[in-house]
Amino acid sequence: MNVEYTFTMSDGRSHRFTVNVDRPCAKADPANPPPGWTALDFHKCRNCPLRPETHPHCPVALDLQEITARFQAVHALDSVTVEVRTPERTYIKYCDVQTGLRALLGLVMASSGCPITSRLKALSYYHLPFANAEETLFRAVAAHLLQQYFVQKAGGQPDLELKRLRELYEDLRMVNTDFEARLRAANHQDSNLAAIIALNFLSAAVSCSLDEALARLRPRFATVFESASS
Amino acid sequence: MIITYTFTLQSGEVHQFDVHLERGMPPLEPPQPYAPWTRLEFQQCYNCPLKKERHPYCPTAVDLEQIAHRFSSIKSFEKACVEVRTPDRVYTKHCDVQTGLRALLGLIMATSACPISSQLKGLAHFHLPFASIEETLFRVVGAYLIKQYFVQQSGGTPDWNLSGLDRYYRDLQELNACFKGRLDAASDKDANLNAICSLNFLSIAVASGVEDQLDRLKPRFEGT
Repeated sequence: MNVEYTFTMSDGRSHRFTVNVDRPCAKADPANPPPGWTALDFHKCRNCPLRPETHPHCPVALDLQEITARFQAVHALDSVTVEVRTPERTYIKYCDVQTGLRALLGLVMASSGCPITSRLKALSYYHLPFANAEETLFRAVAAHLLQQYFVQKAGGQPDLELKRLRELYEDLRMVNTDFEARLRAANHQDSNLAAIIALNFLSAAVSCSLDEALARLRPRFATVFESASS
Repeated sequence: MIITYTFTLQSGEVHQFDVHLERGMPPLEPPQPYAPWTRLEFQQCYNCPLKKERHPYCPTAVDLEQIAHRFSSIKSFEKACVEVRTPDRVYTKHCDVQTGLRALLGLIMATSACPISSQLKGLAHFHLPFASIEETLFRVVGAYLIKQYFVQQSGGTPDWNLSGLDRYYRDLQELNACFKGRLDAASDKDANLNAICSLNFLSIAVASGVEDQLDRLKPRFEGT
């Protein structure tokens, strides 16, 4: 499935990115070596399970090369119209570049070869650009519990207490901080990253603990499926 | 929260509808009397728990009466650009009027005061216009499982097997069929209803057997 992002700047220039949700794990092109900041060991996330022997480059960093190059001269706070086209519909938002990039990067990360962020991959099939914290939480918990439903049906041990989702949230928080440090450090080498270093790209997902977020979501569910649940 | 639907027809004609998610029961004494076909006992759904003494009108029928006349002159297969505006974003689709109308009616039913369809009201905050069957399943089953998590947290008995959801789907199917009967009967007298009574608007209810349907989603959740 392809999701197409189009950024139209106020001066009429536009940038288009197509994210293939089913793409394989990114690999460096030997004929065209990627910049140094994409090396796995360059500010590697502290919880990254990859080894440089098998993955010399961070798959998310490789995926982001084109985006960072194209946004070289763009400021994070510039106004932009972002159009996101999926097979079912088009989403539009008038916002700043940063907000649009956050949505795009969230999708790139969830569908990338990163062993941590790709645990949200199922969500990229139901991608919701510009999701607020509540929307992100709803989708993440729904996806986790659906996965547990299938585990249970197959006779496995489902995680119905959300223990593994809590762990994933903690992991995502670390990736969020550490990957940002990678971009920040890269910015000294490669100024085209200026536009996105300020991104707290997973912020909507991990700004507070899962349990705090769930407590806020709970009232929505007070009357949902009332008769069915009694 | 208000969700605004705008239909722009090829002729340039524009129709806009605001759906107030928190609108509650329609007033018992409206400025203009409701149409006779909105009376509760006119083709009342078999599984409707409302009593005409307290609820003389079907809340969903009253909601629909408001929009039916706006659509009376529009052909359901006419092409339109449908724009749906929520606080967080705008959704657009080029489709036929019927597809847009189905999304709008789904939202109206979920937020109406009908005791059956309004059990989906929590989902209206995550409204997804033009949802495919797969997207609807993800949202509905996901929401049902989240509900079970909260039931479990408060010491209740969660239904992780979705048997309650299957029962609920049967209720929705019943309501879908009965409500269609109400509209069909009413459209004999009221041509305004022709456009909407051709719709199978509770598309969520069409799915039979949640469990079988879920097989479609399974590949998405394997190996993650």
